[in-house]
Amino acid sequence: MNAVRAVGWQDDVSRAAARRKARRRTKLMAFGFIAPVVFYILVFFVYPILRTGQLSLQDYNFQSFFTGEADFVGFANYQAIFTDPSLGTVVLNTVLFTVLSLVFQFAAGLGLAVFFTRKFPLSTIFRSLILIPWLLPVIVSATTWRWMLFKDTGIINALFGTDIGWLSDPNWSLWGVILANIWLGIPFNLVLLYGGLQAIPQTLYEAAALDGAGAWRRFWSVSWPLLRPVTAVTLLLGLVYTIKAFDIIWVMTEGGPGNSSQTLATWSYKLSFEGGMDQSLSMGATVASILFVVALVFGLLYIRAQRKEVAA
Amino acid sequence: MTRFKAIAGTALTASLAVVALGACSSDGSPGGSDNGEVTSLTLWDGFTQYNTGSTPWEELINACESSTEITIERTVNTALSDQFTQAAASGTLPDIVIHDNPNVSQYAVTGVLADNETSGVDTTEMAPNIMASGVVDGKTYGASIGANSLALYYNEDLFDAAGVTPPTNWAELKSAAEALTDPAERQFGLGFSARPDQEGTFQFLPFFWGAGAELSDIASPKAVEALEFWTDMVADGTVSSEVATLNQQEVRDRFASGQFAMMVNGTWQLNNLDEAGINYGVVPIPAKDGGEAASPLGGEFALAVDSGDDARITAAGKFINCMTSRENLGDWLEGQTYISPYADQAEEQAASDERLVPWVAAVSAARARTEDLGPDYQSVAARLGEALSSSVADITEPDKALSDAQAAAEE
Repeated sequence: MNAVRAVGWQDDVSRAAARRKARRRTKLMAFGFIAPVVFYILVFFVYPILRTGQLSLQDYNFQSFFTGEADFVGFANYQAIFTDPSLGTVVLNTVLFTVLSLVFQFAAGLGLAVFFTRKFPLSTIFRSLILIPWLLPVIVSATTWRWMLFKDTGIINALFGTDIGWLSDPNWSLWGVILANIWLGIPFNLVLLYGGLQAIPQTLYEAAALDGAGAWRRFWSVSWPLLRPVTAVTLLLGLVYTIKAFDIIWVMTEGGPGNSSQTLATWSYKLSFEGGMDQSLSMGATVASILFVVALVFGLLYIRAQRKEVAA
Repeated sequence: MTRFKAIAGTALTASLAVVALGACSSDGSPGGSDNGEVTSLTLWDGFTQYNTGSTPWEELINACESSTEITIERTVNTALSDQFTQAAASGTLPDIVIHDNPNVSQYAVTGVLADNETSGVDTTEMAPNIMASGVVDGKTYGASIGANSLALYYNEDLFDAAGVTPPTNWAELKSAAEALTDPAERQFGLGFSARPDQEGTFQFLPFFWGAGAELSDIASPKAVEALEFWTDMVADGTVSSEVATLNQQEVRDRFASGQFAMMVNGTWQLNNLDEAGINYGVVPIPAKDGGEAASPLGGEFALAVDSGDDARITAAGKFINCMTSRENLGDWLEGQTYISPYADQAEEQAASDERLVPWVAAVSAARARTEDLGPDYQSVAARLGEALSSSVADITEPDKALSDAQAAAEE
């Protein structure tokens, strides 16, 4: 009797060991699969962020490129940036640039997405053509917008009969770059919102129509609420891209005249690479770190909002 | 099946690690040696327009490749200064680099360049004012591959129609510009670049020096006078307010289309203007009270980088000597409309090409931008550029802009 029970117990032990071994093997395999991705993220995302943070605490100036040495200065760079008289203008410009670009890009993208839900002849071709701003290299778009916005020879002033120095007047330069950036961002919004609209079942619209809802009511009560997840993604991605938009502004105005179209992104570049022996990669890194923190905050807000929605 | 997955996963990770490590390892300075003799060097330049295979620059390099028996691996960089600085940080510098002359002293003081005693580059016969950009702390670095400068271009047809003669001082320049300004036709009497970057400061210097100001004090009354000369003309519409954003190419476009009756521009525009078919004349930029204003020297230097390998540095020096010899420079100078750094060759250029007469004179009287301030020039120039740009755009008054700039430069 005892012998039989003893053998049974041995079997259990060996089966448990076998199960543990199998679990460990599964775990190793799991690591094997995610290791490339983790490695990629560590090298291309985490390392640059850490290095930027490190640079912002050092004094990496022109000489440092050649000697490789940079002193540790603690928060001196942050102090310098926060007491810089340009900071107010630059931050205000960044906020205006980002908010206005997002609002108008989104509105135009949404309007066009709704427009294209109706299939008319050549609608697919037109929809593809509208992608062009997204496909063109930004240098090309920025240069073309620069030509269009010239005061004396540009087509915008000629069309509207105005005499505005879109690039050379400090009161107008920010609006000039915002205009160009809105044009740049419309296709992105269109694509995402169109996809979102397509996912809404037609039956809901039919039901609403049967209940007597007009076109506007159908949009407001059916499309808009069901688009909310897509709206959140679009706005968040748009925010992250826009807040660090660099080449469009740099090619058009280089942040000038003065600081009238300078944003945090262009300021970071200017501090890092312009100014002869005064250029300081550390100061640029400091501004870049501030920019990163702002984007991170919004990213975390988004994740929190997503979690809440999933929980709801 | 499970074992296959395990093997596949590990293999993937291992291969990725190997690839990453391989990519991480520093490239060092490529280039080959053969029995201790250097047979290939790397060269970086910023001449993006000379990349089609048969341009004067490429032919210059090819000619010297055959005569020195060194193969050149050329990289064209659009933002050469930025790329060079970053390459210094990552240890991937070239053997020879072509830098704009005002940048030479800034790099020389960091020790990244090899001086001419070490590399064997011979510039004893080159004009001293041109080579001044390469002299730092008593040592000379690199060799000039040609110089250019600024002068005043004017539209002969418009001048004849208005009965105006080329100006010889600031008062005449102002009245000529006013006579040729026609708001109804969107025509402006004068055009120049007032950008805050190197383009604007380059254009401003003839007026700055022409008023008697010096770079050691950019807030002096004479400097303010020079800046006010510019801002007054913008304020009364003789010069378009657009100049705050225009670069020299764009100014040239407007001159070629007749929109600007006069323009400040350089030798490198000659061929373009000839092609555009406009009737233009060239006079030196006048100084405030008459005579020629000293104009700044443009043009690049070929420099040998201190790679730590003496054989490579000497080979680079040999190649640079070949590139900057009179015979080899000839075709390059013609294609680029640069003036020779050798005074005798410059005279020959003036004799054989009538268009170059005013330019040879301008270059021989021109000043190197870094001769006074050396490596500090670029940071002072950046401040000066900001001051002139914000004054022209009417953000600050000229005297305040300049005194702020001087204070910032002194920090």
